[in-house]
Amino acid sequence: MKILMIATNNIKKAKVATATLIILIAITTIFLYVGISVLSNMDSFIDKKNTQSNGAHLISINDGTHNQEIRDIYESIESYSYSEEETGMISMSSAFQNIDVGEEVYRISSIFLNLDTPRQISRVDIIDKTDQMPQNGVIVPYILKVVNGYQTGDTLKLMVDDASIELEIAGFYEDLMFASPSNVSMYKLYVGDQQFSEFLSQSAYGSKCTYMAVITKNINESESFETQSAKKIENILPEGTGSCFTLSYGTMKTGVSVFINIIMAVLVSFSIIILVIAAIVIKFSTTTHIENNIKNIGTLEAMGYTSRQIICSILLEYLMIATVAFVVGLGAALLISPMITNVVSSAIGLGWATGLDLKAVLTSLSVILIAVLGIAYFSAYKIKKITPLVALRNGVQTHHFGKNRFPLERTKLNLNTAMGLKALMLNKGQNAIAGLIIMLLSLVSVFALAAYYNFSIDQTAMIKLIGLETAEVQLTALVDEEQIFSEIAAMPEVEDVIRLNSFDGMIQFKGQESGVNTRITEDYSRLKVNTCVKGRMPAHDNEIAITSIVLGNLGAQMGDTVAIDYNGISQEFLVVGVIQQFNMLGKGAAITTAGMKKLVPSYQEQNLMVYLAQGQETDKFITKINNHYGKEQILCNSYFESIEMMLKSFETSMKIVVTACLGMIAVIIVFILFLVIRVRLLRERTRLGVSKALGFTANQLIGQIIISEMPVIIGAAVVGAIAGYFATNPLLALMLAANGILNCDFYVDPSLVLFTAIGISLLGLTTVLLVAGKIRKISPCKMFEEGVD
Amino acid sequence: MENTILRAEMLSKTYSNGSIMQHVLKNLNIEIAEGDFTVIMGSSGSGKSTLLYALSGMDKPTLGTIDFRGEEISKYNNDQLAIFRRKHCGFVFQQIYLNDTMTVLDNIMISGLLVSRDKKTIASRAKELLHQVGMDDTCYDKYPSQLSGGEAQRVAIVRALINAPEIVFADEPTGALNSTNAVNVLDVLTEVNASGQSIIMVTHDIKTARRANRILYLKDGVIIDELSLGTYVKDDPKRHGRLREFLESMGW
Repeated sequence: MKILMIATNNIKKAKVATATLIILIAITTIFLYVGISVLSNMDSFIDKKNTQSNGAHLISINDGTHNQEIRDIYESIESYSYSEEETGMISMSSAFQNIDVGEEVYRISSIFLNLDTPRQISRVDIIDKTDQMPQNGVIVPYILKVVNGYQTGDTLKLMVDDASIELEIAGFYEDLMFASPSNVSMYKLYVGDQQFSEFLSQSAYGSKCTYMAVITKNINESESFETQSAKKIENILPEGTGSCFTLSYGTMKTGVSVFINIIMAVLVSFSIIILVIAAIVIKFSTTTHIENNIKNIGTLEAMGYTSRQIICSILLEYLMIATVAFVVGLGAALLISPMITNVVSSAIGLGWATGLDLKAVLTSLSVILIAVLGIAYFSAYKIKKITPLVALRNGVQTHHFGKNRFPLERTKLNLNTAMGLKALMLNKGQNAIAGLIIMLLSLVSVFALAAYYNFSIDQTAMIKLIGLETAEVQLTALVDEEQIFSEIAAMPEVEDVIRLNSFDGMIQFKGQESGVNTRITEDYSRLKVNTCVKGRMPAHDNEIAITSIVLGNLGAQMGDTVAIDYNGISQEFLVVGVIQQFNMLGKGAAITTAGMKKLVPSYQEQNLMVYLAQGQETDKFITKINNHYGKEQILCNSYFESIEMMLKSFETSMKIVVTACLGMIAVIIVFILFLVIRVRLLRERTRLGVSKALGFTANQLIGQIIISEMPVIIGAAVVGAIAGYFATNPLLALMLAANGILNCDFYVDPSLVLFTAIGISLLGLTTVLLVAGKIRKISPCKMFEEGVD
Repeated sequence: MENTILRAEMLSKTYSNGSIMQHVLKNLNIEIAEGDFTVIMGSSGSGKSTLLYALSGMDKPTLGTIDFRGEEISKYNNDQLAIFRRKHCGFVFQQIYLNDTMTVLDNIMISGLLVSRDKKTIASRAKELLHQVGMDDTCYDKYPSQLSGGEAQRVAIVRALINAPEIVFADEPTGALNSTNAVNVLDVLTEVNASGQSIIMVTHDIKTARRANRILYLKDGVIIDELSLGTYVKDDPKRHGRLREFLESMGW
């Protein structure tokens, strides 16, 4: 009880430091709780959502020519449980526009299914359903509601080449498969029976296909099921046509959660940085508290309090502060949960709702309490070494015997500059810590701004990171590819063409096996995006380059010989390089066309990447190709736009996270400087009072504080921003290392460095001026008698 | 009064703490003549230090006016008061208040450079004054923590004198010193006064007060009486007796 009284009294006396700590710990709580709760619940949440609708473990879409064989293959696999199949309409070159929200036309492949078809797998549970399904009604993915702001009743225009139709949004559905543009750039949409029949009867909107949904005995082995079935399906389908597309639950689950997991990992890292800053504040406050109250401590000890009890009162003080701050932070986290829901939902395409997560609450509380009490104990420990007598004699004074910097007799500086610089040198320990914090925050600011720029403003670097080409159009020739491709290459709109194909297969090395998407082209030096990070790209028919993830899975490295198994033929390839890619979960490889011909002698490259000349419009070119060749000869889609579309789904999340990060950085900088200067004013109140008495004006004293603080602030902001310029890509690579990314090439505009350095410096100057301005209001005698409080 | 350097009329100072008002100074009228050594005495809480701070422009009076050589300084803003103090006043405090992080020479020069930018002249005058108060060359680069209390107070007096102020305000300058150091410090102040500079000093100590030529006695914020002692003469038993008698009549 007595200790409680001392603790509450300490809190009352240190209102500013208490308020600062409460804010810092509350911010830490928000970030830590949100990060931990999302990270720890993501897997189970997606599983639960999938279970609710009995979501498919594997989806395959094929042209309907091999339905029975594919079904037989699935049934032959031991983990198969049951499946359903229905007719769908697939449109590779579909474009959409919600007329009511005034958005731009965007291209994304789509598959239409009949809403009225009875199904047990991936049941459609409609959100915001209309009272009555309109004839032209369409049920669209939930992600369009959270990211694009679609509402029930909006008009969605579907455009496929020259054909277009207006559909009315009649509700939304949640699903993992084909319900977000990430990983697989395709939307699944449901229309009523009549509309579906109309679609099938008009070839203008797409092609008829078979949509198969499979449930396996163990959802966690869906990827293994996909690998096993893919190997068998390769054998029954014509070589390399890829007319059967499969997607497993496991692949999609990892794919949709990668981005949000990275964001949450960043939030958790950020919370740790703020906790470190709070620890520094505790260290400052405790040291100042002991210095200012040394006589009181001596009195308490003389009265019979043990140093342990006094330390306990300090610990109790921080325990109370941390608890209050945690409750405030947790309350704030719950208040902003709609925003978090929006961020997570827009990334995974499912309506995120978890409520209060007790495990995350306890974990966050434990981390915060251990950090706060630990640092408070170490800071207060020196009380044990102070005897009551020493304390009553005002403690052991720390005498200054250091070098006299800027001696006034000899310096050429004017008085105020010299005084400011003297103070700068004198407070070098404190300045170093403040400088380090500002430097880190400046670095993080540049990183956050650069991430936003590359995600949202110029996505070229992001597309390169994903490992895709920057071609505007992708073509697949169904007949006579040699002639068609040479005709297209000669078209005036075309700047360059590259034949680039890929296939899903298996790579083996010393008994280990890994599924991989292998790219094939004749000359890798012609590609616009170089994904090679080590060694070189393959040039000969016996060479291969592989991603670090696949190499890790296989236990192989450069110089080893691996085997590719395709259609029952196995060929060995020498690993000559390491490549990186974000797509296909980082599982990629690259061989030459000559190498592919060793596996399939009759192999012909059917895919062509088309790079349009400057100023050419993708839509017009696609329409021209479709009109010229027709869908019987060629399939055509706008490649670059669909990738941009996928990235757009992350834009909202990025905007919120970057804005939150920058806001927090600003708050932290203000608080840190506020605290540093306030502690300094408290410590130096006598000196400042005497200076005023001697005839220094308030402006001169404020000027001295500015001179002593601003070099640190400006220096730290500039160094941090420059470090951010150089560290953004290595940091990003570090964050994405788990996805096999070794090297990033984000564009960091030098103006971001300048903007960050100037912004932080101005923020610092404003804070210093505001806090130091307090000197102005106090008369000198009050200042050195009573202090600034 | 002839040669008045400082005049306060109807000087009042009131502190408020919420609804509680404390009238520390009540309608005081004081005139300080050039070259006076004035001591303000009184019991604890009588308003001695408040009066000293108000007269020196370190604190603003609630009511009343203060003139310095006919110029009303009580209407000055804080910056004008700071400039007034640096040009015309010197301060000596009981707690000495030297800057622990600066050398002896810097502690003095910091005050001198406020008035003049001529570093050489200021440094040379500082050294000269230090010699005058009995400090040798070895003290220049010492830090305050390396000095005795008496030495530190003598440095503080030099700091107060560096700009040749017309008035030196001293708040219990010997309060924290032993008797030997106290006498040394008072000798310095007496010499300063003998050279024509006015001194206004607050003290509780009768031996210290004996140095003054004028004693003001303050009670509950009002000057209830004053005593004129004439020019200080060392070891004058009559002077001490008159002062003792005066103080006893004030209830000392």
